[in-house]
Amino acid sequence: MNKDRMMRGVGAALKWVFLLTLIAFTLYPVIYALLGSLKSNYELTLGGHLFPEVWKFENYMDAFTRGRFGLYTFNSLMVAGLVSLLSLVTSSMAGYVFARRQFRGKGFIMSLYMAFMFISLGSVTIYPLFVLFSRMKLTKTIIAMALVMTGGQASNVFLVTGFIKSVPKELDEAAFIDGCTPFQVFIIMILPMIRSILAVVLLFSFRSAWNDYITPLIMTIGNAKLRTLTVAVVQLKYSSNAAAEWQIMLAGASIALIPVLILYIFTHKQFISGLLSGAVKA
Amino acid sequence: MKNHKMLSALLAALMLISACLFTVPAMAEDVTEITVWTKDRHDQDLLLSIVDQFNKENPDIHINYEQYTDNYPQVIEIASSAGELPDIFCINNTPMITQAYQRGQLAALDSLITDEDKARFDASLFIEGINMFDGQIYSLPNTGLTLRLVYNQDIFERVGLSGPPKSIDEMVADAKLITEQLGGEGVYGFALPLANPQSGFQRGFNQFPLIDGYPVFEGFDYRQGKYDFTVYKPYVLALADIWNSGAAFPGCESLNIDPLRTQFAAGKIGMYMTYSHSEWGVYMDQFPTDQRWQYAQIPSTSGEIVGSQSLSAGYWYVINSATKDLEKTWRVYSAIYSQENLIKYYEAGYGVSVVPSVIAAATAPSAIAAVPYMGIQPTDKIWPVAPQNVVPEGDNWGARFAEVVFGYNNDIDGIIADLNERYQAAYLQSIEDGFNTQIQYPNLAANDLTNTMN
Amino acid sequence: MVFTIQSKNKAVGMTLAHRKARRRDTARSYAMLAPNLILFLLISVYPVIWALQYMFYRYDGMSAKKFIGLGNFVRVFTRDPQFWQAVLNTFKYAGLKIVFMLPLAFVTALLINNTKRRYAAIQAVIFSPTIMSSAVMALVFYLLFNVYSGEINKLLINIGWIVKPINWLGREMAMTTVLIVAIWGGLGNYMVYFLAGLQQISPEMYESADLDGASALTKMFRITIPLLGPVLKVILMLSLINAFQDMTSIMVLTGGGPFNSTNVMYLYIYNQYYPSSEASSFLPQYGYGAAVSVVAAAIVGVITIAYIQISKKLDDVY
Repeated sequence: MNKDRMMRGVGAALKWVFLLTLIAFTLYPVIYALLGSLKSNYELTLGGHLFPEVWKFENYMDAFTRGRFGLYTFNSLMVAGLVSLLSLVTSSMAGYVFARRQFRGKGFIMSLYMAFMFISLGSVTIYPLFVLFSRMKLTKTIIAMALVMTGGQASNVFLVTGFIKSVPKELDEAAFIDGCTPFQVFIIMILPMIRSILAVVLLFSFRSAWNDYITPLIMTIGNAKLRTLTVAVVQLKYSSNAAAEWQIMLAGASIALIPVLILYIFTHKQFISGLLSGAVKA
Repeated sequence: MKNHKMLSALLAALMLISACLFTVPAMAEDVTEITVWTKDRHDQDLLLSIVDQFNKENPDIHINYEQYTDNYPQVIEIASSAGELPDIFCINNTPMITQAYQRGQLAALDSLITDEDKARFDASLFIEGINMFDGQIYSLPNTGLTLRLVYNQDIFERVGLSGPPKSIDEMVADAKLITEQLGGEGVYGFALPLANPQSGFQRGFNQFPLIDGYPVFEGFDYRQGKYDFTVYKPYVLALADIWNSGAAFPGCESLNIDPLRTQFAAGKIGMYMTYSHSEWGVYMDQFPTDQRWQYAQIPSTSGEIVGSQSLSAGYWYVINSATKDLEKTWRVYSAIYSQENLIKYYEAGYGVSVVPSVIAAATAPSAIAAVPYMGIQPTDKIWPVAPQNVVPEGDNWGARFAEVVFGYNNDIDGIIADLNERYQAAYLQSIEDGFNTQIQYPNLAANDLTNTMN
Repeated sequence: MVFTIQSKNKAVGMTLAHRKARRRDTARSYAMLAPNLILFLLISVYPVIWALQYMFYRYDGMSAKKFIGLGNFVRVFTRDPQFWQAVLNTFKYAGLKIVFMLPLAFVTALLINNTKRRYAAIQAVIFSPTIMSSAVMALVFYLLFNVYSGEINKLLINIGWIVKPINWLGREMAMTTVLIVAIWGGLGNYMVYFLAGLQQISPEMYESADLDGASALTKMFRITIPLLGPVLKVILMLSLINAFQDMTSIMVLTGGGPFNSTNVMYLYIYNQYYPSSEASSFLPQYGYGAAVSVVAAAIVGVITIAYIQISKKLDDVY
């Protein structure tokens, strides 16, 4: 009995050592970035202390004034906002059509969507789009970037499709018989029922647009003014004073991280449950 | 319920954002925006002040001055293929200007430049294949660029060395001596920014054969008219010796030039090689240092300069042929190139002018007084144009030589044979594709570059 | 008789009206699908068709493209050791990432899969790297792993584990460093997948096993793992496909270097298109890059299909 209890105690201790190590491993880089952004460059390269000796909030001022981070934050917000909006509207309607409507070509289109989820030519695909949008004079605005990031939304479409399929058909079919058009049915009956999955689509597409690096990097290569936060932050690595200004790099990184971290604190349940529902469907 | 409220709030925020999106204030109609791209950072204080002043004095023009860095060639390449080059841009090297010309992206300056302006620049500075193509001028000269050894005088004195190494053997020995004596304090004898080996080796290493009298530039043998890397063998082995003996600064394989400079400024590096124009500005403004440092001649095998170093001069900024308003673009361009600004540039030590009228009018820059080897020496010469944009399949010469330097591969002969084969094949292919011609100067001597008869 | 004829006529009429209605119905479906479908065709399909065409050309974006037939493929298969090095690196990277990350994710999920306590905060923390930009965090890791001023080396020296700084981004260690960052970024995601699987196993199974006096290990191997089978298969496939396509953080951290030691397939392709400072040439190779990307997609495709086949076979065995 005693031995048993001791074993259990050791087990629990091991479990907590494991979990706490993992938590430390997960949080350390983030904390390093957040606290490091408040240190002087000298203190940063000297290393050793977790908390700043002198709290240098002016690093952020520097990032915003010299590094034009205000502009980049604005760009990121715009792009992520536009992408979320576009994905929300287009993928919810497509998801509804796939889940409820029968029409010629549906099977083909769905398998095409499915196939393109698994085929990846990597960053090759951005180049023809860049050239195309550049001819259309759209690369001078963030619209081209947002369109490329929105893309086909295959995974979001299937997320919505799966969710609608799990909702009982009777309600919207009844509305249909009453003479509503499919679009009316979608607006009146379906949308209110699928709000929770739309929140997930919104969060996922906001996150992916906010965090995307390769697409904005290529799409803004000739227009530094359109850079998003991620691109601007990583470009600091190549900037004139990169080697001497780690604090600015970390301030930039923190500016890119803090908004999603705050969003995450309030919505982590949706993030995880969204992923769970996606995973279960898969 | 809470969820739904938040979702609606988010949606509302999104609507607001997209509403803003279409009402972003546009630039006033009557202001022409002229975009200028540069790769340079060491001269940013002066250039930014030129830009500010111009913007103040010319309300109809707004210069948008964008600085790029290590990724500049990549930026130019993509922008050029998408037709998004800026109005005015800085030229990195001869391949870049050649390529831009061949693609029809450069505006000829002949009709814009006044005779008075033309007289400021010496006729000898207009060179076909450098800043002229088919008899037309595409860029104007400012400074000359060559390569130098940079060394820390304090470190050299501490280990009892009276001066910089003259021969390559001395360079290796000095590097070892410094690391041996000061390695404990984290001071190392030698460093090169080899994160990108090719560009690291272009900072001085590529001068070794030229100085020793072999007319071979980055693998191209002018006399044979083909690629032949054989002469590099002893130079590669000399660097390998530094690395094998542990005398080199640790982590050079992932080191870029700016981090290297901060370490040099902190007194951790005995010497390195780089361009002659930039370090003065770098250690004055960018990474201020209290270390005493000097430029020196790139060492040679014998300690004597048998041949000559390559001097690159003739281009700085160019104008995009697709610029919307050539007249206004030219106004910006000529403001950057004004006599006053070129003199300031030279006097402030951002580079060594090659323009005779500027040199005559300027008071000798304090930079050259302080680090004399920054100045152009009689042994720095403008070499004939080598084949441009020869890109072989697979690794370039820099990456392959770096394998030997870091001791990952000891088969230097095999590597040289491989490079000879692939570079020559790429060269022949580029001739076939029409963007290179067969170049051969059988009688060219590295100390007398006048004999470029075929 | 008359009745039958009438009904037949009626039926024909119905079909016409029905057909018309169906056509309108289809049109309405397509109208609602259109915004997404147009984006899909433009952003996802068009570039692939573009690449399938350009893979037969030599093209640098400016000078006239030149048709060279299968020339690009001959080059991939006979003269491009760099690409095959990248393929090898990709396999190494993907293999090691999965081998280290999945068990870790599984154990974590097991530990916090508790019916009584939800450990929501721990879940949220471990999942959090998933919501951060991998590019931005790679930059932070780049500073952390810096040889001479990085915090990690300072820390290890301070606690006396090492004497000389480790060259984390050098040739010997770069792959390890890249993997550490990859596991940091991916663990939370797969932990949640495992949790999804674990939560589908009904608690009664364990309760009855408890009544039989089964040990924790027995429960694990007799209940948890077999019942997790189908989910595990999906997780493996997802992690495989993802690991093969990872490139952003590697790009920021090492640029594929030093000496191609961390160059992976999709990064290699990126560098054909957008030559970076770390890459060798400044001439983009749009035609060749397209060919390489098709080969890379085929490699991933073959692996995915092979994986599906193998897991089906395993199903038959069990």
